[in-house]
Amino acid sequence: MAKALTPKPTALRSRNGTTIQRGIPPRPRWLREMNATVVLAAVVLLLMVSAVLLVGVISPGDPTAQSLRARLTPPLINPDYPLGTDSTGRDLLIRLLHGGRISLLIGITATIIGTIVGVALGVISGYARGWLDEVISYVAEVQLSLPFVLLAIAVALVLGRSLAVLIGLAALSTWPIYSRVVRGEVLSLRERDFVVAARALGASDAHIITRHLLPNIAAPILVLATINIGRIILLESGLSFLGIGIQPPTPSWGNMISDGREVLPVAWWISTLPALALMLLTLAIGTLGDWLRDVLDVAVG
Amino acid sequence: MTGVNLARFLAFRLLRTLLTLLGVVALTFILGRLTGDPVALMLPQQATLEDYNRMRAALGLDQPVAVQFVRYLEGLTRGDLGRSIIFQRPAAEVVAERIPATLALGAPALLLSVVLGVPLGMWSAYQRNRLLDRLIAGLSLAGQSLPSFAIAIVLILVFSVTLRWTPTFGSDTWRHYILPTITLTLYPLAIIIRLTRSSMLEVLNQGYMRTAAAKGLSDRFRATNHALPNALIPVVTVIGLQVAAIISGAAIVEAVFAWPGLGTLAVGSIGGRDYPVIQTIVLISAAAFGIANLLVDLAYFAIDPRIQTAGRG
Repeated sequence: MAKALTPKPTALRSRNGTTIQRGIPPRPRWLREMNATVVLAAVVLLLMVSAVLLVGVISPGDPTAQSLRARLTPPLINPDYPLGTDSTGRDLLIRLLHGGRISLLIGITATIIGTIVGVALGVISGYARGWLDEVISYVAEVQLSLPFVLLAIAVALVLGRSLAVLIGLAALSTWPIYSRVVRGEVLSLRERDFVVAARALGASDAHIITRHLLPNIAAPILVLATINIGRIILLESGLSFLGIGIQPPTPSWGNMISDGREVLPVAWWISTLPALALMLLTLAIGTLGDWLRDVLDVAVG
Repeated sequence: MTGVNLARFLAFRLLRTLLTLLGVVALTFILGRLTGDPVALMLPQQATLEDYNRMRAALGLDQPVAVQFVRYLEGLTRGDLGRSIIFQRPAAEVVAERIPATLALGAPALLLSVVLGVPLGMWSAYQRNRLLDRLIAGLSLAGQSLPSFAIAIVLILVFSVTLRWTPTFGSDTWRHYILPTITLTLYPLAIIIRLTRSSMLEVLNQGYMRTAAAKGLSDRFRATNHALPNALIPVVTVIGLQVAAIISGAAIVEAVFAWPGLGTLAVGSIGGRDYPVIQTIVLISAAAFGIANLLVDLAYFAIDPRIQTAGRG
């Protein structure tokens, strides 16, 4: 690996992230933290999202249609099935796209629900303190002490295995992460001078929360939300892999990986392609989450 | 920190852990009973209503849930965790038989992730933005982003199916342990590397590091006696959380490798509505998590005796 000929100017970084470099006009932070990996991740994410959105619009085929004559077609051999077929001759490309759509749908909706609930409870915890704080923190602690996979299996048995239950479970797994972070932030913010001053001026609790507290915790929430979408996509695929998430024949990357296990020695692509898609998507989201954290300079996740 | 304060702090933490365990037990008890009726699953098709009622009574399931719960708690205080409905043996026995298999995966996974993760994270921080750092950072982001079962599938494909170095599933020889342990280690390892690195970078910028360098202390001494203890505090917290991640991860890894541990037992018990076994497994996992967090609190003292315990909870 060739070393760069000119040494990089050693930039002094202060706590709030301003970089002091003499003679060089400052660039915006989001650009300074940008590198080839971030760009690549953004491109990958954009391509994958537009591909799975497009499949809903142009509907290239039925993800559950079987073709026994085309069973176990390897990828890149038959132009009718660009990524090959599974053991019942279903088109893997179409199934991958539909599976990705469900993953993103669950990841985004559950993150929105979990964020709203978690932030609300975290603000209540940190702002009201007292017994409300004790109760909310206790419930969060109990839930975090339960192995979530077991909790999910039990809930799926009680409420059935549907998309709504899966989204609910994913949101359930989300809220304690937020409530803890938000509680801590609010606890320290509420003692700050600008909040004390607002209260002294007669501002209502609602005003303080919406105008002073929430804007100040928006950055960590945004970073947490990005990372959380990736985490939920992993959770959903894990549950579907165990058979308690998305139910066959509806494709999900998790149940597709599970499907292909039996034929792994003869048809590697059935499990491997959805696994690769899953890795690519979560890696892209993770990379962008890291970038966002550096840009916004918050210490979460 | 004086001994009295430490004792009071420990007593407070222990009480909190017990309260949390009580909540876990109650939640599991209620949720378990909502999932369905074990008797209906066990009896053959031609069983009569009389058989059904007799069996329910024999298992104590004819009582109101509140009564069942009080009885269960009474049993717990005597160390009685109930009888498995499926195996017709004490639940503690059924679960205890499976613990070594899960421990044989989980303990090395936790140990490896700490023993490898902390030095790699430190190294990465010292090599900041060089090739090695970028490599470690990329791999640890991957380790954190990739689902364990997908990693397992790829590992099986490469090492078992293609190279034929390791068996695909089971737990008979030492070779069987390689892939499940690697699979289970990757996630906590990635988390610990990432956190050690960022925590270390934060510490290296502190004024006392510059002071130590100005005093002429050696690089090695500064790294191990100044930087590491300060950087380790957030890392230790996250090690406690990894115990929960490993327990949850074991359920999926065991399913992939058909590993005869707690995870497969738990999944099977929920399917068969074997409440006492489920409750025992959840209780043990939650207790392990609670103990890990207590140890984390104790570790704070060892690392930094100045840490004020009064405000933590």
